[in-house]
Amino acid sequence: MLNLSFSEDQELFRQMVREFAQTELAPGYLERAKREEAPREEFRKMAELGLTGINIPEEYGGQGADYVTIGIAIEEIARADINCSYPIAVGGLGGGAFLKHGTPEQRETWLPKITRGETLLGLALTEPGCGSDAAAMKTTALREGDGYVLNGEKSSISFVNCATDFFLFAKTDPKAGARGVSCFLVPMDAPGLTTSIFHDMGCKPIGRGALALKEVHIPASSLMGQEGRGFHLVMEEFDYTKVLIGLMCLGTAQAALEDAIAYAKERKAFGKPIARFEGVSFLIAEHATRMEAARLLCYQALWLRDQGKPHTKEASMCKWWVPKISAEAIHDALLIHGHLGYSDEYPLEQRWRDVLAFQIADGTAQIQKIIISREILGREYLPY
Amino acid sequence: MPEMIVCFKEVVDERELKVNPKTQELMTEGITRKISDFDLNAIEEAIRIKEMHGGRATGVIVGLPECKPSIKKALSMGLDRACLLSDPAFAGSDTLTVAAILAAAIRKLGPFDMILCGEASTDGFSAQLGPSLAERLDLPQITAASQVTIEGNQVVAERSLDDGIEVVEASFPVLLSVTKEINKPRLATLKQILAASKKEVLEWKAADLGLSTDAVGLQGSPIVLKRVAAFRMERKNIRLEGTLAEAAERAIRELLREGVL
Amino acid sequence: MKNEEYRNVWVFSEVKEVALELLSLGRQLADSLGVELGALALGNGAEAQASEYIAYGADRVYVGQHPALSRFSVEPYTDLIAGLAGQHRPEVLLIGATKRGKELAPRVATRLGTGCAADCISLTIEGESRALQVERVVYSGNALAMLTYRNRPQVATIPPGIFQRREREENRPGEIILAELPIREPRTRVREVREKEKGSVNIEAAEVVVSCGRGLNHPEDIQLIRELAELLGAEVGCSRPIAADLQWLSEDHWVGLSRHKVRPKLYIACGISGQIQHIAGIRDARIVLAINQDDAAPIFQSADYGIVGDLYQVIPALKEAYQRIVKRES
Repeated sequence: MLNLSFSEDQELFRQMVREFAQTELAPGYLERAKREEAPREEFRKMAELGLTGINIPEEYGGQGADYVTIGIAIEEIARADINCSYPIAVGGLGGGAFLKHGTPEQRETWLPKITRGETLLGLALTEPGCGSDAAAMKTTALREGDGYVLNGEKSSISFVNCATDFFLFAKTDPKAGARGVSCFLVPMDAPGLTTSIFHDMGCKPIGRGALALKEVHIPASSLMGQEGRGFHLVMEEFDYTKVLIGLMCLGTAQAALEDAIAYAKERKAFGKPIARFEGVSFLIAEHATRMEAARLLCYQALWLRDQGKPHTKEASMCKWWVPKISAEAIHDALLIHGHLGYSDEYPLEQRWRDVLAFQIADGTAQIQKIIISREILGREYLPY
Repeated sequence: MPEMIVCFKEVVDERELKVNPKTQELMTEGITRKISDFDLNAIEEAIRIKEMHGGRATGVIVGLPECKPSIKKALSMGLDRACLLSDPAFAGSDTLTVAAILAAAIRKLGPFDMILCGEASTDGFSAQLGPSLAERLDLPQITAASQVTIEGNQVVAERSLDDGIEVVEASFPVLLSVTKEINKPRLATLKQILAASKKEVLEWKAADLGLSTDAVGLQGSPIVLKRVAAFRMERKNIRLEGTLAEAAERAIRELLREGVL
Repeated sequence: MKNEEYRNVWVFSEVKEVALELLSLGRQLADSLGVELGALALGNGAEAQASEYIAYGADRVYVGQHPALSRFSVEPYTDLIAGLAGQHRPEVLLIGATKRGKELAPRVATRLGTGCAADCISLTIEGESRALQVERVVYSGNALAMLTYRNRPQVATIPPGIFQRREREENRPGEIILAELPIREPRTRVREVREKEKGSVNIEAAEVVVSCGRGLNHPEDIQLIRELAELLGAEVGCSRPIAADLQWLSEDHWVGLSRHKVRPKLYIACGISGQIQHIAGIRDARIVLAINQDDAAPIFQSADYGIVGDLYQVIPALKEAYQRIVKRES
């Protein structure tokens, strides 16, 4: 039976998160967005509200809820400050990965720290020479004594400015392709690990940057899951972050559209509000329609995940389409504001810069469409 | 271990109010409803007292059955149970009649040490409920409390008055109305929201409270609301002319007349 | 008791100056009803006050001098006022809407089994029914409610400063009556009374904002703005140049689209030109008063009231006028 409503608890949760986000986060968004500094104080408040451990069971201090609920939190936080919504996605991802692939010791160690906000995980997969093509990975993790030694370079990694640890992917079998990739937990302060920050046009607080690994020694207990199963872990666990990215962009676009609606009702031309001109009102109607469709797609994908059903195709649909229509909505919301929207004192241009990041991050539109085609047409029609 | 009663109510979110352009009347249908701001402070204060001294806090609300999400919110924040007083006969009750309904329910709930309520509601802002309820139940009252401490079986509170701060004390049982400054209401976590579903919600009608339907609602209320009209939001663009002293005097008089000073 | 059995208009405020304003309003209502105006004088010096009240329009003053009345306390005051009103049955009872008056009026009304309307800014008598009709501001200043009464007495609280007192009339005839009624001791005890401390800035929640812009010449002149704000119980705001370029005030004070959007009842813009970013930040203010030297400053388009003049002269004039009309030592 089709039921598209959130539960009463989820509605109340949404209301709480909105109240928090609009009072604690929204006022400082613009100011924070212009600095390359992680909003640690805001992250701390979010952890206090339990937002970094939504899908982590109560026994580890989490909220024990589902992925749809994570989506609600992300959407609401992003409406106020997209950069602040990122730790929820990462917390959800880390939580899910430990629950499924971690050893009991790893769960005991890491999950409570994630829920308390003491551990902030970054995801180190991409390299200068490879992104979604993980088989081409160059970073190595070779056995030495009862540990591993890491060498290589990671690029385009988020939270380089504030992560405490990274899920880092490296080849334990350099000769193998994707099957040679393993996943490790590497602390930010590991000797031999150095970082550098990129100076981006948006999402500055997320601190995109690079990691250089030179003879980094880590214990064997840092291995996440099994050797050679790292890429599998990426595929299985990280599908749904594509959906969360969609909701991050959508929340941001929603805020922009609401600003545009308010402005269009107020700003007058030829003696009447510009909202009465179809050139403006239809634009709003069209974006609202696309955004509604996008929202349904995102929550459907999360719901599929909660049901334990495949959602690879839907996640990729979210990833290529939702950031795109969000950027377009913000673009038009900016234009509706005229020169006011072009001003950097106003959040529209900032929101636009921020969502652009997600048309690139976690796989471009092109790779997502390859995945969707593969799911629809079959593996034999892959281009490679 | 004080036994506490917290009175709260639902109001429309005034940010969403719209005006019927034809009649200039306010349209309150279909607008988000929320717990009145100061009442959230009263709920928060009861929870803080509970965290320090133990005891129990029961929320009491007069409202439509549709106010259940607000009840759940109050329970999520940390109230132990709630009591919804809902009856079609209550519709149109003025503030003092609402106080009578609350008083009947509070008597039925049994002995208590403290009643907490918000100093005023964000819709009517008349600040009458607390004093009227205290009168009905023959209690001492401490209105406009901006800080509350419990010392044994008495309450010490700071009152924020027009001309200064007054520190007063009273023994249990006592009624307090609290200001916005007293605390910052907490936001419930998801876990608390889920736990709130298991808390008890009593539901009473006029008959359960021994109230005659003639004594409540529109016909039972001494105050009759004739009309609510919107303030026109357009700016008036009035220049205050004359000497500076004259202009200043006119300005102050106009602002007082507008009710904004 | 039938409504027709109630007669006369009564007024009470524990603050003498407010009582005088209520006497002026009460006189109008009593005259239009063709009845007497009564007043209540309680506590220390009540008798001296009583003759003043007569000079300002009362026909009859009830004086209460019990020791428990010497300082305001809601319980004994309720005992006395409700007791007297029960005996003499006024049809209208006006109480000054100070914080103390507002805790008193609903208690009195509840004891008398009647209704009370708070903070009434307009009061009229409906011809035939002789019923009082009042208007009060509701929904955070967004709307005006019109109310009337079914029962008597009709209790209303009136904010200070809305009505002007009458001219004092020497040798106006009037009667002073000593009220002897049983009064209970209050169950609350006052431990301490002290001055209010100044809070930190929360401009978005402020009810009144006094804001300044480029019209200020020196950083130390902020003091002028602060003084007006303090007098009005307001927060200090500013436009972008003061916070961002000159940094005379912290960003907590910055009002505008990109910082704090305010929604006070009253926004006073002093020496602010009125750029659109600033105007968008004060969109939700209910009333805007603008002070600017430049007759053509855009701020006047977005203001309800405007005074063209030098803020260095206008602000002291406003303070003086406010002190004269409203503020008084209690």
